[in-house]
Amino acid sequence: MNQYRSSFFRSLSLGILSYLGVWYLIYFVSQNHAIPDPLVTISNMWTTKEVLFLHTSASTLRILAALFFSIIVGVPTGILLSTYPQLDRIISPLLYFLYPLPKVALLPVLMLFWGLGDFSKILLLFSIIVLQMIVLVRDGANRIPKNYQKTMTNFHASTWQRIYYLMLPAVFPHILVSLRTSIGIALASLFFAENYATQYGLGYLILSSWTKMDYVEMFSGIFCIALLGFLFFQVIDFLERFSYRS
Amino acid sequence: MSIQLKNVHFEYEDNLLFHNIDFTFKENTIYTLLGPSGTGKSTLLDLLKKSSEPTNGVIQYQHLSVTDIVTVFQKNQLFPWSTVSDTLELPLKITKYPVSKRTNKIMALAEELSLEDLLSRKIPMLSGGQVQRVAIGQGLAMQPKVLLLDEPTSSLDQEAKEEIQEILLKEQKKRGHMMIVVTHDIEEAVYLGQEILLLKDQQLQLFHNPTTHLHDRRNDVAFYQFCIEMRKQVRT
Repeated sequence: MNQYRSSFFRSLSLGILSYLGVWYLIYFVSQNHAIPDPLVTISNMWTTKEVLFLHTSASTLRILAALFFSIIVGVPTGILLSTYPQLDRIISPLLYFLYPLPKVALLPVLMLFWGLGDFSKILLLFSIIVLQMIVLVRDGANRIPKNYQKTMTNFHASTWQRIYYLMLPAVFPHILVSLRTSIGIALASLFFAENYATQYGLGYLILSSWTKMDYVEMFSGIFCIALLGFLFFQVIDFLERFSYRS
Repeated sequence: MSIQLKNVHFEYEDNLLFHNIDFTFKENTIYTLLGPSGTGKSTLLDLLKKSSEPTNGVIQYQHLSVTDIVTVFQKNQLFPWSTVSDTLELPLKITKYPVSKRTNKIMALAEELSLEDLLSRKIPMLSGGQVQRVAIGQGLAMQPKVLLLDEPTSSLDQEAKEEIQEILLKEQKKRGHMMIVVTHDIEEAVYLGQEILLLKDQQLQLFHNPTTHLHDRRNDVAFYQFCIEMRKQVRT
């Protein structure tokens, strides 16, 4: 645990320093008022930390809710499709049709049906994450070696025991891969989701400060999104320690 | 306790593997099953385990249910995300063995199979011989009345192979289960088997092993003479 903690802080400091380094370089080279001084921005972040905390918390909760529902729906669906190939043959064409669709285009539709509140925002993030999760979990479950299935048959395991002792641990690395790739897209989509009918969220903060041309506040929001992404990736890295590599 | 094959006939994709086989597997006996490749040695294990059904004929189980029969596979049956301890515990969890007795059971198995120091190690970190010992331990955890082994030492070096053979003999003597070992290694078949079965021309031929009473068989000429005799039987 201590080793993980020191690796986390080393990685965090390295991430922040290199981020600030690149930012400072762009600031120095561009000399454009749209790119604020990193040190001024950091100082502004400290003075507005309570507000930033509220915006970051709102975005974090929306993403966590979307992740939670994606796992609840995506993992069983992926396992179900792998267990019943006939069902997979019917559902997969629909999945492949929906998969490349830019989900943000659905936001107006989601808002029409489920209103302007948090539910439609979470639903948008959910629609981005869940399809990827279903496909990766299904593929992961399909790749479980036949010998492992034979082992469970040998011990006369029930369907639930097969799922719990074999399929879930076997697809766990695939769940992490899908989270790793979809969290980036979900964070990017916050801009669209948090642009309407809310006053809290990093997407709202960035877009509203952009329209006010308050670039220091805008970059404070961008920095918070980067930090949030970093923390999510660290959690996935941590969970990966309990996983196996096939 | 016995398994009786009556007129067992088996075809797979127009391939005749067994033609009206009659044979009785008896309790507390080690059978080794030899035969050229593709003659259906592993298929016979599948039939005994009821993983597949004979095309004709019946297999009768006396004082035995299919849950009493456990297979130890050739390789890659253990889950790479599990530790040795988790692996030994898996059949106990599946069969709902009392939680309070599980630790003792695992420790006893680990001791018998010299796995005490490896309990917290993950499966991919083990050598071939250690993996096979864990696989045997997993099978024994089910307390089988019949243990089927499909080429249990095929991928091992000589030292590990002999170690596994000694373990199998020791465990069978201690527990008294029926053991049926499929192997392509004639020396192994003669070393392990009290009865040697040769699967050839869609039939089972039985050879009683006269060398089982010898004290130090691996260094006895009679053992190798019988191996040569069996080799001739397999080849002709």
